[in-house]
Amino acid sequence: MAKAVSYNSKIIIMDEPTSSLTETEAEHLFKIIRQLQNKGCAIIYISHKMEEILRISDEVSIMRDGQYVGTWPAKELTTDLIINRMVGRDMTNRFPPRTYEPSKEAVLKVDKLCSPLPKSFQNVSFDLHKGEILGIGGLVGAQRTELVEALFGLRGIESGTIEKDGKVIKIKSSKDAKLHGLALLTEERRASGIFGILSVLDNTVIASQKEYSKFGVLQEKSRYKAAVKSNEELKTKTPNMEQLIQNLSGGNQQKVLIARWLLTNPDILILDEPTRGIDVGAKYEIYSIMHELVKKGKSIIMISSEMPELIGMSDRVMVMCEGKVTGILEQSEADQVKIMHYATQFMK
Amino acid sequence: MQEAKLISRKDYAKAFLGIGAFLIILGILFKFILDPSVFFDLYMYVGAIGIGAVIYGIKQLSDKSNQDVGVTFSSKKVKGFFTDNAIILAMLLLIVVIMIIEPRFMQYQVFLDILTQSSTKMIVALGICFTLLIAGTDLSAGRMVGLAAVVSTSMLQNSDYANRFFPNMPQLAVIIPILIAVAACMVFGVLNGFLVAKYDMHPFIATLASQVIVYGVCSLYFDMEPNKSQPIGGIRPDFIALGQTKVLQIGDFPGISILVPIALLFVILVWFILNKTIFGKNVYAIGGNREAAVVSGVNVFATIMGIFVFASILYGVGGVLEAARTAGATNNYGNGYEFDAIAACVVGGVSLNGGVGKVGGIVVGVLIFTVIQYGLQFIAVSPMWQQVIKGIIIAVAVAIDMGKYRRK
Repeated sequence: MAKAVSYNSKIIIMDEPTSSLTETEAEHLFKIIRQLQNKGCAIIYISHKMEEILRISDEVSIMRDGQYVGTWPAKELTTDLIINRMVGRDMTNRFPPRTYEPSKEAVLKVDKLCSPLPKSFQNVSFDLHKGEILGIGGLVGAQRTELVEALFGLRGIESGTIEKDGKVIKIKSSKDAKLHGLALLTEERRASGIFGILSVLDNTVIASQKEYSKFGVLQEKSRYKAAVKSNEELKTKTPNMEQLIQNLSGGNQQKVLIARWLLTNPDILILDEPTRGIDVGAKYEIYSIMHELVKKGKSIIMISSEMPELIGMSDRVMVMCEGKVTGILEQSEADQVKIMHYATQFMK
Repeated sequence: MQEAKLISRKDYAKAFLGIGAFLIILGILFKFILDPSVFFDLYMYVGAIGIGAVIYGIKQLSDKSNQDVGVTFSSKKVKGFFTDNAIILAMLLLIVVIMIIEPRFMQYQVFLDILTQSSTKMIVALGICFTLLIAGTDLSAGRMVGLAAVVSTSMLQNSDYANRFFPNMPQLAVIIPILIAVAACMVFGVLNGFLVAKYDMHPFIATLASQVIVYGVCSLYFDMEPNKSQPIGGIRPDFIALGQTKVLQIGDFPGISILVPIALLFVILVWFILNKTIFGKNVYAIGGNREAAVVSGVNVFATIMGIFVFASILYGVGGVLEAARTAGATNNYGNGYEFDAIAACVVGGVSLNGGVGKVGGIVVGVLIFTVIQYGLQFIAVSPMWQQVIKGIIIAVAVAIDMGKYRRK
């Protein structure tokens, strides 16, 4: 940010500048933007945070599916109007209604989990109830991703126990995690989720290949059928199964990844920022899918940095700050202020 | 920019059927009209192209998924066709030019010779493609070919040969020294795989190290008493038969070298492994996105071991066949084979970034280089010019390949 500002440019393009900033830092950014405006600099500010856009912009341009929709003065817009123009229809609710009730039995018990790295997660303890969505909130650097990667066997655990369905388990690799019924959708789907140059078919079945093979040889028909069924259930939009996944939109790529993990029959799905970089309409579809899954008895751990999503989708919210769990809030007590308070507990 | 022209798929197919039928008739006509001492076997090629066009036309008609989709011709599509197939088109042009300069190139014996010459190189290229698919490489391929050649022949010499490698060794069944030679290569394949999989060493460095070790070990073996680095000769005829027999000698047909069906066997085997097995899919997954492969539960360690060991088996087979074909071996056999193999794969569409590559492309890549080498030799172009042309082809092929990825 500082580098960009130091160039004395006439036009600065900022692409999602506040995704890694705290609220105070974002405020500071807005001050700088006002200063730049006063100096005559023009700013293109790309963001999916509509509240921010309405605060900071003079004019708002909306794009949808690669097409330019229009430009309006910010004064004439509201969040609902923006959503309407982004999605092409009205969305009175950003989140589907909750029509299920999570149980009280714990499907996963994590007790005093510590990372071998002192700066990473330490003494993390929580329960995951069957049929619930447990949201994990916190700032960038709170070690949430590191925690779930450790649960999935991708990172080391120094001490602490993990209990699944009452039995203590050791997870040293993604293979172990899969065996114990865990699934992980990583934070950066391009970096560690999708195989961009492979087909939707290959991307869907990659985690469950043994199911559709005999002695290592692929059984094409059952493989194809399973991939088609799994994607159809999630309404993935793709012209055919041979399409390269990198040609699909972000939302559909995410659906293929969910289809992939559903084929492994997990009990617990860990979703790390499941709707990042996805448009509002596709986000709603993912939320609906999540509700379908918990209704079927699966349990979800969802890491999210979007406050409305965290509050709107979680049954309980666990907040982390600098590697430690600072609070676990019930749905009824979860609000922006309390979550931010816990998220910044060690940073005053 | 001219408008895109749309032709129905039926008309498209019929056009090919028509052209194909015409060429077949032309070919038959040529057989009787053209003077064979001037045009040699041109009629065969014309007829073969005709048959190819007819088959393509039939495929277009019978392919149900394409039935209603018309075929568009636009300047963009034509340009795309030329860039995607630039190398093949250049090779075809070269063939035509050589046929004009030296009509004897049209003899079908030339075609058979080219197939034979590509065979052992084909097997090495098929082996190395696994390592390329995971964005790696294998610089030890050539030296393993040499190792296999030396080890196998050292135990397959005639008992009455004056300079036997093992003077007192009894005659073993021909398969045993072959298996020992391939096993020797597998030892170093395991070493390569271990260094890359366990220590996360870049394959370039790991295989560079083993290349040097393999050459050293091979040379030490080759230098052992009483051989003392003499070229290994006096090879048993049953082993030589493996490389020099001709099959399908029906009537006037001189037959094709046994190396061709052997190479074909490996082409089919590798195609099967890459397309029809979990292992093959895992290779593409690791090459496409290694981190995602780890998250998805792919056994990356086992797959990488499998890749380097399987590759070493193929290099071993290539070495054994080279030794049989030339009825001898020295420790310098196979020197540099990895470069030709990698070049052939790259020209055949294998991406150096990993995850992309087809067996069909590799076959074409190997053939292209063999045609160029054989063809230029046929018209007495200096081997040095051959090097220049080979290098230009590699550069152009990679440039086109990279161009495909840059358009984000």
